[in-house]
Amino acid sequence: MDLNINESDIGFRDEVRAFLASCWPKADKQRNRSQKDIALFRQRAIEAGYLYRSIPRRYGGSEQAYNIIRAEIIREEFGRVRAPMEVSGNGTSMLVPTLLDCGTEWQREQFIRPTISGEYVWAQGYSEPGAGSDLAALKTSAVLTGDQWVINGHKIWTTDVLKAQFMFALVRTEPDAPKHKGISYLLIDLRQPGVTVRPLKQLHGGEEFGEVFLENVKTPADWIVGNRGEGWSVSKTTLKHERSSIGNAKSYMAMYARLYELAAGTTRSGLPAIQDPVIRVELARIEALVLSQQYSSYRQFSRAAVGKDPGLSPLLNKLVCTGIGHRIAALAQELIAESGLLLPSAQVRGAEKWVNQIVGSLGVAIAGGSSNIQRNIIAERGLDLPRAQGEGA
Amino acid sequence: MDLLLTSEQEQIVEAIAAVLGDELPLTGGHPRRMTRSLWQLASDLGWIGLGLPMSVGGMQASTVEEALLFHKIGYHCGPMELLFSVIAAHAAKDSNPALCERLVKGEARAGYLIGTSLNPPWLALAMANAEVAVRLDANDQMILHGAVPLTSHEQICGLDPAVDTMSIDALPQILCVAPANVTSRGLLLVAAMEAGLARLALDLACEHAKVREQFGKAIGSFQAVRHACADMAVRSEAVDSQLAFAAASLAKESDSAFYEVRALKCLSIDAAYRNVRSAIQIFGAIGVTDEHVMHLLLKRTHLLDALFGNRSHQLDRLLAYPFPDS
Repeated sequence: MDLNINESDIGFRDEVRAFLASCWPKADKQRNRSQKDIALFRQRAIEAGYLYRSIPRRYGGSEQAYNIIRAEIIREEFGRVRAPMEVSGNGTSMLVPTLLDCGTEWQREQFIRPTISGEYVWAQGYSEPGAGSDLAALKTSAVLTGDQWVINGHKIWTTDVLKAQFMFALVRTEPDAPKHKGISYLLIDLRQPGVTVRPLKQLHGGEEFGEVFLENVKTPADWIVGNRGEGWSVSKTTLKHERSSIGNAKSYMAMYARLYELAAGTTRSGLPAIQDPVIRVELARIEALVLSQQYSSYRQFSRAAVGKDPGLSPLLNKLVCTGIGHRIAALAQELIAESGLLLPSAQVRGAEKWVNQIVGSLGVAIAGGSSNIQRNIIAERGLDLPRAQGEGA
Repeated sequence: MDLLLTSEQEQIVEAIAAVLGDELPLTGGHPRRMTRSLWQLASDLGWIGLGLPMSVGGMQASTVEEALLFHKIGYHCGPMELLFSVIAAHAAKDSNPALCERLVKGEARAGYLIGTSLNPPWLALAMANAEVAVRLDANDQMILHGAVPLTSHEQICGLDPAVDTMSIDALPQILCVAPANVTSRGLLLVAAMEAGLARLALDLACEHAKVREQFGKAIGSFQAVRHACADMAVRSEAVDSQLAFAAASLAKESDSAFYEVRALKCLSIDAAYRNVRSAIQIFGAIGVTDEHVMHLLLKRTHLLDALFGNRSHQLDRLLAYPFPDS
């Protein structure tokens, strides 16, 4: 165990800082940068080896040796000056790693470059009305007819579908096989007849989800990732990436920092709220939780850096962070008092922006595997407890 | 001691439930706003004057019947205007019987003003058609105000879509300071709404757990779901018992009524928050859309918490009372 970062990594940090100082000058950090400036910066960062490190150069990545400590240094340094990181979204975070693990050469060449540049936006077509926690019960079917798949069905809670041109989806191609063995992972172009998208408004007014009706939708035969019937295991590559991104301690550190600022800037009965013993105690408890999750992620990094089995802790990330999010939300609600009765909107006045976190934290406990499913996963995969009858993970 | 309802009280509850079931069916995520016909029915059936003397057009029933009424209104996620008008009518009863009578008849309506800081802006709830407003001051007294002048407000988007919300820069004229027991009555009735809402969350979650199937069986057969439902039932039973006791204490003006009512408010808001959150988790993704009724329960809970002093306010006050002798 060593809490210091080694010499070469310290040198690396200086290198990253120097790069940022020249390519993302602090002075105009707050000015509006055009999409073109951002794209150019990303291109330079890729050339320097800072973004898309695990993606080979021939697909547009920077193809760096696996070094999780350096990846973390890059995240910290870019975050510090708010330089653009990798393009966010399902495509970069879930599809690209899946293609690298299970895709064909042609698929990687075709899809990775435009996805990481942000040109292709992907929807995640997993859940269905009858297949939520029990995802493997999905019914959307795909039949290979000549050189194309013909797809019929109904996807719901489809993230980013309103802005996506493409969808990676789980569909049933082997109706006679056992339920986990009959699923394939297909890529679908949404810009064709037979695709109907309906937005789903969330309780705080956002529309990040939609439902998609697929009627005789076509996709080429070679747009299948992995073999027929292997979609379930292909998708686990993807879900693993979703869960680890939800379990990101960094974003909760930032949220805690904003909570602290809120407590320092709020007056209760004539005194700063941060002097109220009840508020102080809860702040201290949340801070301890956030820090312990941060250290847990360092331990996860350390294990991954030397190629050790990651063990139990990655399975806990989502559940732990969901809990932290709830506690931050509860204290924020207490602090913002009657501002909590406003719906955040264009006419934003201030503290009510926390309402999104307060009501939104309930959705986090459902998306990407509900808290109950997380507990099943911890029990079964982490603790080797017997599998609950009929309950999957 | 008898905390059971009389047959007369049971009839009242059934009648109220029938009206609300017809007027505010629990389908979809649309806000259940006050309608002209519900307002008419409420005044025809004597709901606003239920606990007021006959001299002002009331029914001369007790806080027990009022609590039963508001439990049902809470259970139907019903309009807030009824609560505000009842409290305003009690506030005006002695000092302005004419106003009280108009409130009882539904000719005048009341809203609610809220502001924990000493500075503007304040929030005005359900004030669009109201000519008076109630507000809890820093000393826990209910103050009756006049209407909000048209020039000094800004319409804003409230979290609870069924409640018209404005921001105001100045408090309207004070009409009177209500007797101390009006604060207790307000706490009791808002707590009754919270208890009703907690019970609704329980019932909706159980209903869903029986019909929604995953892994080939009803999700209510999974312990993670059934235990959550059982915990919701425990909270609802506790809060309904405390509600019955507090309503009876207030009806007979017992010394411990203030304590019982505040204890109730702490329990009921806790039950409402926890049951609603638990129910949303059981509903899954549909529970966080605005097409399903659950978001209305969540937003209503936030609103109810803020009325007549929020949870931490009540906990703080509760410690100032001696524990009642049993």
